[in-house]
Amino acid sequence: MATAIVDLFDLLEGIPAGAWVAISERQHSVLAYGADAQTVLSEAQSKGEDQPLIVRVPEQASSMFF
Amino acid sequence: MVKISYDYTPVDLAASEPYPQGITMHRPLIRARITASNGNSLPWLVMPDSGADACLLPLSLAILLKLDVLSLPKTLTGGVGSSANVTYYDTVTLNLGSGIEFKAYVGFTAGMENVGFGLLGQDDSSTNITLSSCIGRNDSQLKRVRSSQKTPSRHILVSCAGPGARSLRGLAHFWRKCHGRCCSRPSCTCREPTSRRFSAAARDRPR
Repeated sequence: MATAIVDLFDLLEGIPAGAWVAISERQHSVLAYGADAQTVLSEAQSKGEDQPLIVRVPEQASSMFF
Repeated sequence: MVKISYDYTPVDLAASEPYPQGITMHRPLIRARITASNGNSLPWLVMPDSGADACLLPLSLAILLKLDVLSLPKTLTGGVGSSANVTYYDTVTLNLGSGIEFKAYVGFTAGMENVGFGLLGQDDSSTNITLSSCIGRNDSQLKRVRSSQKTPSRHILVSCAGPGARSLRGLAHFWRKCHGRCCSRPSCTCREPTSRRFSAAARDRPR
């Protein structure tokens, strides 16, 4: 089964563009976000989530990808 | 060749000059678990890109996986809007869910930092696994979706041949047993729409 990730984009609402975000897939919530992926991962792990899903908010909300 | 269906993910893009009302793009994002050669792993979003020469991932992921980047073999890569990106290579294990797991020689580059997710391009020949993609079961299906202006039901087919295909065959058998009537059996974890699509894909597959 392919993992449904549609709902993840709702979680990114309000998070600054360009930020790395750590998401708990179990709790379906944002654990941490910031400019540095390593810091975000460390913060998420300090909250008990060893394997968060790390995604990045697009820097330009209107950017197409090629 | 075994095929698995993945849903496209709608991504709303903000208004811009060519699209003053904004536009919803559909990207075949897949959640993958990426395990580096050092054994460290993380879940990550990847997108099949059958035209790309190789699989590419953001350099940040290599750092998060605690790879010694400077010791990895490197070359230059480029794409639209970027060129001469130093790219470091490692053999990783990609698990796409649904029993699809294979090794691939992938590049980590700062050129992918701005998007954050990875690209599943053409795999190297050493692993004897090919990963290809197409849009929908066929182009006519996609055209119908576009013309109807309804919520698209696009999906991507990931084809896998080689060692990773063995587990897929078992999965295909499981899906066929569902016959599109996604069951209420506790052991069944499939969703009805996907089950129907996969049944159709299995039916169309040459035997």
